[in-house]
Amino acid sequence: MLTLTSHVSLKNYAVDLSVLAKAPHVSKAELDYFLLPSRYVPTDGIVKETALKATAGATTEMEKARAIYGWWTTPSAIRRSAAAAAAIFGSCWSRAIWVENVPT
Amino acid sequence: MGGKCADLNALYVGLARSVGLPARHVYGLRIAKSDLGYKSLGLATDKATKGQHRRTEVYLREHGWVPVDPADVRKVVLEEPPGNRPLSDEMVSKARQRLFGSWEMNWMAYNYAHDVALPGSAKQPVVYFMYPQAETVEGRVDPFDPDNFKYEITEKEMS
Repeated sequence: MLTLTSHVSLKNYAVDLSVLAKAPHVSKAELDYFLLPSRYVPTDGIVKETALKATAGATTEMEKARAIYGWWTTPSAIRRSAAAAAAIFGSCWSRAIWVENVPT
Repeated sequence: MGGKCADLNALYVGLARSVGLPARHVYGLRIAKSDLGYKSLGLATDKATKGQHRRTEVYLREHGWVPVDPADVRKVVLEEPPGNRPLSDEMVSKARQRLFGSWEMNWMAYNYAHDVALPGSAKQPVVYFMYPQAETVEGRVDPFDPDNFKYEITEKEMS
């Protein structure tokens, strides 16, 4: 038997979106990295089409981020999420993201 | 079977990146009850064995990395007693508002990593590293098969 003990200190985390604060500097390399597609999270094809639909009419970054959030958190989207995820992730969705790594 | 945090928040990441917003998965574990009154968003006991939860951050130039958690909005809708709450429900509406821009930290983050090559392993990288992983001479042990791989995670609050 192996026992691992971790000590962590936690503090609630919120960003005040009502003020345009000077955001902490983040390198271009970091931002570029977090724009890249990965093996199971593509950013082209139906993913991009869906995102463009969800963000239609949004012009600022905030509006786009909120539009995607809103798209996922309406009751109809929530309830049909299984079908939508399957459509978005295509052949990789069930095995990698929904089955292998999601305990039922 | 329904989607859980690992997929819905992954969708947010994919959708955001595809329209040019940097976004990242944050893998972690719920380790305490919710102080905001959500039974579905915190532990009920000191057992965190099934508390794994992935959150998301999206980068907005004017605000930096912004915490979001659409999967937990869904969780409140579907699982917060009595379950299947409408969007007009006060708890859902508050969660929806709160989970864009803030995280209640009854949860700890492990990493942002994906496609993780485990040290010393010749096997395929794991898609993400949020559950205990082990390998024997017979190969990788399935972290979701409790008959073959037993683990328990407990938590204790310290002052």
